[in-house]
Amino acid sequence: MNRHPREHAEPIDTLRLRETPEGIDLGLRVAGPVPRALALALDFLIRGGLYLLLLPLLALADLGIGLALLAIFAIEWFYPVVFEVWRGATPGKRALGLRVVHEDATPVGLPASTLRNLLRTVDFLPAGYALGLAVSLADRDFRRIGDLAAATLVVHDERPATRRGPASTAGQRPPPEFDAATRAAILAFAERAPALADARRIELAEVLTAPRGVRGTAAPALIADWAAWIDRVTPDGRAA
Amino acid sequence: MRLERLTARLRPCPAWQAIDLGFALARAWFPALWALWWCTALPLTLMVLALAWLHSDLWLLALWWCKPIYEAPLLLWASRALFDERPRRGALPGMLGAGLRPRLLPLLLWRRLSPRRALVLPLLLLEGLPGRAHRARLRTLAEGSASGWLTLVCYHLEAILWGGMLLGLYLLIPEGLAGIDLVAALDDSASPAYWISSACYLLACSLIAPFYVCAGFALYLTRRTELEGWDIELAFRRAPPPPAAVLPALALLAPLLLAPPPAEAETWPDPEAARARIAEVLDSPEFGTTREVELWLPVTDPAQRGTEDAEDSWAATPPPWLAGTIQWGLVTLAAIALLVLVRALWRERAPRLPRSTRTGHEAASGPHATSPLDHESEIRRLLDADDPGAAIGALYRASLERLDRLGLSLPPGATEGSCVQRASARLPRRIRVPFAAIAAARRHAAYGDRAPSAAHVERLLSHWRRWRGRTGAH
Repeated sequence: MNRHPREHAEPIDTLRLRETPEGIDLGLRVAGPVPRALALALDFLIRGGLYLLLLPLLALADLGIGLALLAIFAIEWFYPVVFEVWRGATPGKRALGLRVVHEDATPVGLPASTLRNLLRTVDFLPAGYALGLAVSLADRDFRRIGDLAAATLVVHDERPATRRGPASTAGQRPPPEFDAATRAAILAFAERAPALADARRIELAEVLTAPRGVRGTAAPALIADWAAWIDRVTPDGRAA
Repeated sequence: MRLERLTARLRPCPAWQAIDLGFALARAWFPALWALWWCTALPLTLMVLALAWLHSDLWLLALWWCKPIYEAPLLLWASRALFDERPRRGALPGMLGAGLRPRLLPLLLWRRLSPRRALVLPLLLLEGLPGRAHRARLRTLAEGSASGWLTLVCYHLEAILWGGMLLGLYLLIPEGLAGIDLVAALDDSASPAYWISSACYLLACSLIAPFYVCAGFALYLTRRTELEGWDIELAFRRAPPPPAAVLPALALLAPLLLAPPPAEAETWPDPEAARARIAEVLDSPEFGTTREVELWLPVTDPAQRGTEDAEDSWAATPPPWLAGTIQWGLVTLAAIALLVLVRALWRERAPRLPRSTRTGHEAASGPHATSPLDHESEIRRLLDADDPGAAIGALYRASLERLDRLGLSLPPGATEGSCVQRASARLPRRIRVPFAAIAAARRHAAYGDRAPSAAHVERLLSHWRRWRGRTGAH
């Protein structure tokens, strides 16, 4: 084995950053074919249920058939558009935690949603969304043809994180040389430490504390103190 | 394990996002993984072809069952590439046999149909724990992972690609050439179409396999990251060292640091130059742009207005009375238009009768100005003037007048037909039959332009005289 020079300086990831005019990076986690296929199947089932509700219309003979055909047309073409513009995602996508957004992370609008859903007819070719599958496997952001044309992305919805309550102790000030990434890792360690095995917790903590002369069970405790200091709440209720 | 060399960003995340990360990995490494799949699969394909005695269904089933043999090298390759160690060509032959290792045997036998195959593969290949420990480890790792869904969806993705390819081929072959029999491609294992279909399925398998293996691998990695805090360890390793550790390093570097530093670092720019530089930077387009906007604003300063009046011609500033005149003129025109409209509407609402019928009816229902004798002399005069059309008209009007006097109310504008209808409903036969004859003759004369002969009018007149005479006796 020899080491080749890296082809991608950037690590492979599904997180895409979009910078707002205020200079804030919004993270979008693009969704791949597996959750999207399941969402599509769920939507298909829901539409099937809606069609079953139309069955009593057939009792009205010709008028009923006409009404049913109109309803089928409306459901088939406008079901995704209405839900995407109204709630950001169809019920199937919501169940899988997906959402449709413009490429710049703004909520999807009527023109883009209409376009991406009209182009389902192209993605469907020649059968069962085979073309859309091939295109989305080849695309870096897993976009199908409709997404490419309408400049939209299907992303994993950001679930609100369960935050810990403010620390009970004042904690201990972490060394000043720690940068933002290290501080974030310290907080993550404090949050996830209970789920780690004891030996692993100490081993992990010592990576940071050993150069500063702290080893053994004191190491996780020290990092927890640092986390408490970072996570402390100022008197007016804002996080420091 | 050297986490610093990870080529993917690992973090604890839900299973769906882990699967997506696996798909992103497979996409980045696809050419190598796909070639590797065929390196193992192609020899086996040819070997099985000979063994299966050219039975295409057996051939496909055997190849399908042997999937883990082709998937193991992919996983081994991916596990090296993840830590930025692309295997060299020389290492490939050893890697190709990875799928035949004895500890992978369960995957080829009773674990072949397990929905967790993607997750079991890294466990068997990279950890290789003995029986009970393996089961416990699998239970821990499989918790919350969607590996069953992954397998189910990937089978469907294969089927969709296979169906798409087959149908695409079928549709793209021109009509004149020998096409593919789609029914035989699914049914008849001896037909050439079935062989094409099997080849398509094999191709679809090869296309999906890298994604399936990498998605399983990503599920495994994400779960381990969650359990072992890989991302935290990576961040801790990248943390800046404590100053105490930096100082000895600085001591070593002291001769370099004591060397005369670059001039620009030493001299600070003087405030004037800095201010000029700041103004220059702020003038750059990034900090704002200038636009020219034209708009109308009312003149508020009377002095300004006076100078402009003096300068401008009459056309530029018209006298104020002109505007007033135009305004009142427009208002007057609008009022007239409104009146005309109201009048037109009122006319539209008023009932309108065809003029001829109204006069005829008035003649019929008017006061008894003319006696029957006058009628008769009038008709005779018209007959003498050789105008039987006008004569029959006069006779019709006279009979209407008669009917009116008999108490038969005729609505304004009633046609000849409706008069006959009413008469036949109300009056006795001896009146209504002659009246119907008069009405028919009148109708022919008035609308059909077929004037009756003078003799016919004479006959009708004599009939009329007879029933008028009888009714007049009342």
